[in-house]
Amino acid sequence: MIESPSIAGMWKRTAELNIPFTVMMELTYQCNLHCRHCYIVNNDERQELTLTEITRIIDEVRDAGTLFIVLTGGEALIRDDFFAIAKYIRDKGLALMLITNGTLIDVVRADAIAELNPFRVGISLYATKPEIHDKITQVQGSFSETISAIKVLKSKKVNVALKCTIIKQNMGEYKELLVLAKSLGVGADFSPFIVPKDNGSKEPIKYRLADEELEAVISDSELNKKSNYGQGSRKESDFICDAGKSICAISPYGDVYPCIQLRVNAGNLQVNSFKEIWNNGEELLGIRDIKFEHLTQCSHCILWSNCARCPGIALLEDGDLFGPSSLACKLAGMMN
Amino acid sequence: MKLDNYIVRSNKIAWQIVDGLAMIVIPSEPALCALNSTATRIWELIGEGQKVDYIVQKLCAEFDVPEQEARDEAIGFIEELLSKGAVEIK
Repeated sequence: MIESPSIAGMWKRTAELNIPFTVMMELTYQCNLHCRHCYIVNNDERQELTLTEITRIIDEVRDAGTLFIVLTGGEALIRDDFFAIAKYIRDKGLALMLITNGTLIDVVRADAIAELNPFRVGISLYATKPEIHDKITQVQGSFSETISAIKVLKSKKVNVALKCTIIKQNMGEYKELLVLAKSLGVGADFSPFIVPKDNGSKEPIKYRLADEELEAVISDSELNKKSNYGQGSRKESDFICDAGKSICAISPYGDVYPCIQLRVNAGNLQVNSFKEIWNNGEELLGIRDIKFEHLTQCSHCILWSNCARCPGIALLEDGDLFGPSSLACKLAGMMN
Repeated sequence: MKLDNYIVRSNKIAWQIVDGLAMIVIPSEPALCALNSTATRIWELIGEGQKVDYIVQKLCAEFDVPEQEARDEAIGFIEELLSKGAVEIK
């Protein structure tokens, strides 16, 4: 009676039915770290959603079919009402995932997180050496606080995974990070994909790996076991991602996006209900209508079956939702 | 497992109905599981906080199956859920 469906099959069905199965909620763009490659743009003039508004939105996404809510930021734990929000999510029978830098998690907060039974807590860690990690976060002592959080959460049997972004400054560290993850008994996700800021600024791109470094990372078999890029033949239907179908993102100001990476504003939850935006938002309906053949250049490219094009990165970096992503083109060429 | 046991969902689980079938996040693993249609109906009945016997009688009526078959199905499934920490005996 209990079956273990393939994750791909389950995702496909939710995407076919336009069920927002995973909602990423950016609770705040404030952060206590200043990571050099960060894509977030804080806007102090806009009002962040209140706890009352957030609980209403949680009710609405639950009704729309959501199972997973990912709380992220900025640094989500900066909000005084973080635990009220997280508890509300769990009380509604939704699965909670958290992405954090870990620096605000002490023993008391680790206990509170463990009591929430989160599906997963992803913690950003950039190096095994404090001086490298702290240089990237630009906060002295952040490495020590993050490592401490990982250990205390692990001791309380929380499912923890390292989130390791690979940039020029920590390129020499990723193999050691893998060893560290194994020694700590936690998972690890690696990504060399540095993207422009949400306002289009290409400032973070200067931290992106050089081509030969990028090639070394994406062809590393140890990392490829843990990532989904460069896995070879894809179907045409798989080339179009699930943004705006089974995935959506909500900004701290209530803006609804098809995905955290695809910053096409579909509506605002301080004005309209989630149902109104999800079912009738013109931007979302348009994105759901995109077919492989609409991507005129990509659909004729000999590399498309080995390409992990992200429409959000294509839009941000190359300015065209329907056009190629220069980053994906480069990676597909390397994997060919 | 006794027929007069009350079964309730654990507050550690997360779940949702997708296209008529229940998807459950099992806390002990953690893993995402899908239930078939019979199991989904049992899952819904568990949500009513009733006795095992009530669930068995409902299955008999709704799926037109003999009581013994319904009992075996229900108890087998509930014991599987109990072992995974997805439900509790109240």
